[in-house]
Amino acid sequence: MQSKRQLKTIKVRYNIYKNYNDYKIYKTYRVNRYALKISGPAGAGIMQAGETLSKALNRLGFFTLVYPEYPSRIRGGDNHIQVIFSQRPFLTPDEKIDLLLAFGKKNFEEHKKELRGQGVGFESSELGLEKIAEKIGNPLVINTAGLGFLWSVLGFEKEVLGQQVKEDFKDKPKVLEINLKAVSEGFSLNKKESFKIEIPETKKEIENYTGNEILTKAILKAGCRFAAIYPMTPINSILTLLAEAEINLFRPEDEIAGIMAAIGASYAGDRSMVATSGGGFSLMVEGLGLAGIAEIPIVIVLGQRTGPSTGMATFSSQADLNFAINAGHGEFPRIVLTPGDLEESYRLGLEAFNLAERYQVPVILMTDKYLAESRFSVEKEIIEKIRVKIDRGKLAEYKNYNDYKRYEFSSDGISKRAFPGQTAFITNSYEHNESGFSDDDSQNRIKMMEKRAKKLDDLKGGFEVYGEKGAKTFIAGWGSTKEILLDLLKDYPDLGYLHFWRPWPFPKEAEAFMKKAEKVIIIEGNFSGQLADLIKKETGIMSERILKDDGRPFFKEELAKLISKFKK
Amino acid sequence: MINIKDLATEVEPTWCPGCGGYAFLAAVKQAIAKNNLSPKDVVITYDIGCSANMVNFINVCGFATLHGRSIPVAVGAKTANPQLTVIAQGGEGGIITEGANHFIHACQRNDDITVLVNNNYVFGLTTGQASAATPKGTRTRTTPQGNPFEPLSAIDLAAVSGGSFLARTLASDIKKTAEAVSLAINHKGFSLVEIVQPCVIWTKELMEIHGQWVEKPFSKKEDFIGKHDFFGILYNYK
Repeated sequence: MQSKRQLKTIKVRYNIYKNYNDYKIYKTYRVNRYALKISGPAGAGIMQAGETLSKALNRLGFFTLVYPEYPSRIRGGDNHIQVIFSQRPFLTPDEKIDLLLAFGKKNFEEHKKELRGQGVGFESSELGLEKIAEKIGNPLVINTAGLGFLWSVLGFEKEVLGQQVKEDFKDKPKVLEINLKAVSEGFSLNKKESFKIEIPETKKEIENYTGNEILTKAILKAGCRFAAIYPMTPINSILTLLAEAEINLFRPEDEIAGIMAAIGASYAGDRSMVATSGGGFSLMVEGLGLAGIAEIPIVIVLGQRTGPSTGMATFSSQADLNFAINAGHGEFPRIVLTPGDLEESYRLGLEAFNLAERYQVPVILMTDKYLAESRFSVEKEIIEKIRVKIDRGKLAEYKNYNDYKRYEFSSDGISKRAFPGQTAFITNSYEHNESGFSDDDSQNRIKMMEKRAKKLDDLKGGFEVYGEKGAKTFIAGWGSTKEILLDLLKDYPDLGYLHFWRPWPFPKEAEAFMKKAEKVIIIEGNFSGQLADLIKKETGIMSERILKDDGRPFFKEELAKLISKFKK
Repeated sequence: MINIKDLATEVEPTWCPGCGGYAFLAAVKQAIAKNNLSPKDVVITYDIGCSANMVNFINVCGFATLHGRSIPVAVGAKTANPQLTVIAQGGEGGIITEGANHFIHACQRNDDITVLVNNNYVFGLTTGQASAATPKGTRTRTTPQGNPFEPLSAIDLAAVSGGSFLARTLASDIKKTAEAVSLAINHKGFSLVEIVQPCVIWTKELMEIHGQWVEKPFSKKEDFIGKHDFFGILYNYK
């Protein structure tokens, strides 16, 4: 445990920073923003602690970010979460922390170096958390006792944390009882001084989800009836969440079977999906082409992690953009969606199924470990306002199907879909004629390629502009960097920011914003600059690149340093 | 009533003269008609290969999938709409070579689909390479000295993996094949009919297949596993 003297310093420190308001960077994150870390061996309940703590902070009106890092193991090692909270939305993980709680000496040693100059760190056995758990009679409550202690150090009312614990264990009265006890015991361990943190005055209702959680909410809301998912980090929680929902959930023998079964279900009339990571998607590629030529709607959730191959299985990446856009032999239309935050994950999760069915194409919705497994927060109102009506596209509904042709030519290239049970018809992975029969006639082939290629012609949107619309310097990104880059805009209000949520088909309208700018800086989590290359290919615009490919998201201080080089 | 004629399409079969495919096609039509199944309610997911070209020759809900993948597509379709009669077709190349993983797991889950394996002991459409079911010693274009490996058997794999209805017929015996397919599509759970039809071009030397017809299903799997010359309804676990 740190000394009393250091705890006092904390109080002084926050007073000091009030005088540093002139410094742009400090203004937003040293005074209004706190970073704490909880570390412990796998199995110690670190992830649950992060959820409870952040939800309790949401109750106080804070926006939160919980960023977890963990090795690929079930027990032992060093799992840790960073919890950032602020009165303002859009948060970025930090390299440095203000407060540390470690379960175990090794974990403490590992992370104490991340404490800012005057930050404070605590180790569980020195605090006596193990003893509390022992006294209560269940070693599992140690994390809740730890939360009680942290809550007291932060200077918040015990009752608020208690309310959250009650919510977490509302279905398990016995477990709830011992956890509430643990909160109290942990809370009263801290008899010293606390942080003086201003609590938001206006209480907004703030909800808290991981990317996977809100995406699953969208999947169910969209009326998806069939999901085939082979377990793989970082999409595992989609599988376990769907297991509790009203949906046909298929855990296939491999990802090939997964996409094939989803195609079969979609063909037979159900909205259907798969979820996987890069390795599983590699196996699915032949199914992508099948969905392309047979014109079967399907949603593929592709949660990126660090590759190639097994890579760093529990770490993040944005290196599969090229792969998603180009996977498969031959040429066929597809849509690639790259939501960046909770709001977009929900909206695009709903839209994905509409797009797949409207255009009868595969839709790849990309997330990554950072977005999928980190815990973000959003105003409840924002999510509630998102209403996407289910649109199943062109369906064949006749009294008599005599003239029905599954692949009938039409002005927009889209044919009416029928399902088995309505009429007999052929669905074909071979090139086929309008009726579906295999056909390698040259003229037929030309017409069929044109038919499929024009299906996406009327797609609109695909990107969002934030910040200064006529800015001299534009930054651009895609997918999970959205909150991080919006956070960056707080410090650099003169920047323009293009966020691509549908990089494919590439939204040409984005070109105008970049053309006007003197400098375009693409910020992405891969080694080569895949979005930058795509922009160059599609528009001819050459851009600067800020790249990061170490499995971690961009950190606050790191990105500020990188961007300041270009701002000189 | 569904008439055999209702199941015809205008496309001429592309099979070689004398191919077992013609007899197989007739048997499948008979089985569908016998059960009075409307073409709109029958889904057949096809593999890729000679026998799978049948997608163009029979009027049902046919879906030409990919090599090795007819089973998982069938599983998805059946799950989405259990009212449908769902059949997955494939050669031994698709079902127990490229797609053996799907085959084993569909047996393990006892998925409620019918798998029809057209076993000609060779990759036909790619011009005669040995498959996983090519008998040991058979000369093919990839085993000019004779196939060095013991063959895999669809029936044996299904038996040890949990398949609950297992039959083996000769394509040339249309009546018995039709009966077996008819029983299979009425079976609740995973059903398999292996239709033996040596290739008239590439495995001519296997044309003279002799076997014995088993009148009654076995109650113990070990009584027929490894007996590749047994024909009939070999196992029927309800």
